[in-house]
Amino acid sequence: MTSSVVFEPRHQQQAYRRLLQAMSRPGSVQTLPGTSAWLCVLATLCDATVSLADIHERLGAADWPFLQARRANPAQADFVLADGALEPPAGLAPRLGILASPETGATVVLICPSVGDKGLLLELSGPGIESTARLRLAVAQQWLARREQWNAAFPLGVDFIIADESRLVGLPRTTKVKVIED
Amino acid sequence: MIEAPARAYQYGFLDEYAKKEIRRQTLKAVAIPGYQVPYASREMPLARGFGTGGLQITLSLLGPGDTFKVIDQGADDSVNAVNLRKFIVEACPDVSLTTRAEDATIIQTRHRVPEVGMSPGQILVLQVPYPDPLVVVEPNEAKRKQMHGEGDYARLLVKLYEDLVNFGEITISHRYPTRIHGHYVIDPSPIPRHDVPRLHMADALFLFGAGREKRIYAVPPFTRAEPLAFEDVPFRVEHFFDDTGARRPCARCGSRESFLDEFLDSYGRKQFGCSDSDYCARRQESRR
Ligand SMILES: [Zn+2]
Repeated sequence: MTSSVVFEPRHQQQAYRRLLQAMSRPGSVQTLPGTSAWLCVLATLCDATVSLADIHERLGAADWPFLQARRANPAQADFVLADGALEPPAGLAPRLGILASPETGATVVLICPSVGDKGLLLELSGPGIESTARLRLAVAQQWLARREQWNAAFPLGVDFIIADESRLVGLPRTTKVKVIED
Repeated sequence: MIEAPARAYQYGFLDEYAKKEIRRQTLKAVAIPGYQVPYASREMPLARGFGTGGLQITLSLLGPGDTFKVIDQGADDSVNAVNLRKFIVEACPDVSLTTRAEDATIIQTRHRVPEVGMSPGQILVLQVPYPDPLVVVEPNEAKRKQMHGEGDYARLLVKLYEDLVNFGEITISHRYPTRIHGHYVIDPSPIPRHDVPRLHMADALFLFGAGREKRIYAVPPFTRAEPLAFEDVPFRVEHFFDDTGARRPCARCGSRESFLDEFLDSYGRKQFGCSDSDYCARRQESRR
């Protein structure tokens, strides 16, 4: 168990509010109390009613019973957990939802070495951003290219939550991302 | 005799699974601005008539450090608003209460956006009786969902135009269909047209909860919110002009900017006063 505090309701309420900020204001870097922000995201959102694909096997065997989520393959999962420093696997195709129910598009949780101060320099625009916002993100650039393909036909798409050990950002499907320095 | 076991105290009243579901669906609502996300609405013990959709969103949000305000048709002191405040005191004892809109982190409201507008970072939770604006033109829910997905509002626009021809203006009074981020059209809940432009590119998050219809939707900060209108008949807010064409002032505080309600004074005469009671009371105080 990396950090049992993430399974406490009080902690999750605080984490949820940061997540809501992150999704409402794409590119704003939110700091989470405690450690392991990415595990905290999963602990806050998962229970026995959702499914999770851990494509780079970053969860320990001891984490699964606490998360309660069912294991699923990445094409079917509600949540897809991946290592953002690695290239996305070829053929990865998370759920995009359907026109009548776009909320069934997956949430991709990317674990990153660093959110906000290292890596690619991105320019973001879209809902939640007054004009444009800039963000540094240490992710493999291929994730952003794939994300653009998945989000080509709004309202279908996937929503990203990108987290390191203590910080997170949200990139909902509406956010346009331009790489301005790699 | 078998007694029902006493319900264990639960911070925020809802159990953690209910909160998690509302939180997941709220995040999707923010990610897909204006889309009505379904959720499993819970039975709530209180605030009947006030509606429970907004309350469930509020309970999924609140925690230590929050300051909370309740508005019912502009007033902090109606029976509904008072009952809701009492409930929050029990359910979330470490949350502070306020009537000052600008001091609140979260405001739950029915029928109004605070007259002072929203401050950066605030969350406004709106209670919604009827979430789907397409109900007036399409009774079949599956078809409505498809029309929303395609952004197909042709029939709604025809209906609005017919109203225009028959009544001289778009008359879906207090429920003015509004297009969000250029795609989904929402029912912004029964707020006056006066309040609709406040949703547009605001530095605040608007969450809408419909308990009976089991829907959550959102207008994120800095998101386009455009009331449906026609080129020859633009959207306009309520005017409050008197017989001479002058803007009526509030009879209590003198404001010529606020949304007004009619009331009878102690002589039984019809008067106009601010609907937002806290805004009005503070203006009266500062004039003394
Ligand atoms: Zn007044």
